[in-house]
Amino acid sequence: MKGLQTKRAVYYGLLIACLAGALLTVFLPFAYEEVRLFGTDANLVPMSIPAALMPGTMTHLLQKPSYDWVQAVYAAVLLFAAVTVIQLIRALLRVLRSLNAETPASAPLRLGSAPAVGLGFFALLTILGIWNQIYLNEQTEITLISPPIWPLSGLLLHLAALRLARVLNVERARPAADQGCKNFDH
Amino acid sequence: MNRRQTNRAVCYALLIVCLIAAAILPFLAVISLSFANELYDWMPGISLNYELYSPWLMVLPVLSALCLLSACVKTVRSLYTGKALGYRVLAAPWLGLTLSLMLCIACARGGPFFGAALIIRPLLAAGLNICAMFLIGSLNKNDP
Repeated sequence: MKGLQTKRAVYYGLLIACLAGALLTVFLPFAYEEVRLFGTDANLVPMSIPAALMPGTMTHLLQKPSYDWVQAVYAAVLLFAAVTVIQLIRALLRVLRSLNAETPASAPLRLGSAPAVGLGFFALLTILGIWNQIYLNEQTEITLISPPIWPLSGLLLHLAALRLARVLNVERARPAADQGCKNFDH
Repeated sequence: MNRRQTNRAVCYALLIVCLIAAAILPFLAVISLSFANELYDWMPGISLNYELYSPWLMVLPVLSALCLLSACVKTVRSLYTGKALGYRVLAAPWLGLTLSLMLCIACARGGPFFGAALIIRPLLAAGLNICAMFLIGSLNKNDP
């Protein structure tokens, strides 16, 4: 296989993995939230506002009375998650279409607004996770260091996807630019 | 480069990602176990009669990571040399899968409150190991 083309295909593979991973990081907290609902009826951890807003910690919300506005904001977070999922799926389809195109120029690689929406969603979840962690540490009076791993992974995957898309677009533009220079020389 | 070669290169990239992620996730699972252990100590309403976390548990992710990362290095080398993926690369996800399933059992002991949240990471690692097996099989089958 030719070096540069292999590199391009590997970058495409990494981009697909990044987008699929980002999609998984949106879904997973919801998945284990549903499982945890069956788990317990113990009223153990005091509900905090960030915990109530974060997907994956709804158990606490169900066990303690909550404010109405918290429910409304949680619904907005769910909507934000749904928009992120749709954008990520669209970006994934665009990447696959660009990969399968006959020539790179016929299907340029555009991720659309997926990175912006995704970065916003995961930044929000990271802030809520850190806030929740500080709250938990105050409540339990022991120092538990548990960074919000899922939101941080989502952020990193989005940043990696952005970087890869930029590199691929530069690589795509290069042969055309070289051709342009040749034409100019002639 | 034709379609088949492009697909092969994409498979290589996906395999590398699977191997790296499958190597990292068990570490996160063990860290979460130690976190849950501390939280159970604090919880007033519930207590476990056993320790969830033991330092010996760290052996599992370390072993798994060593095998998977060495397989990853061999995969990268194979991408450049074009040689087929050997039995060592094929064996690594099997070992990774066995160790992740052992970690799943350790995490399932986390009880109803934490068990489901803890088990996700090793389960995901197991899924990635299975994906890696399929990718290796597919790459070896289409070896030109």
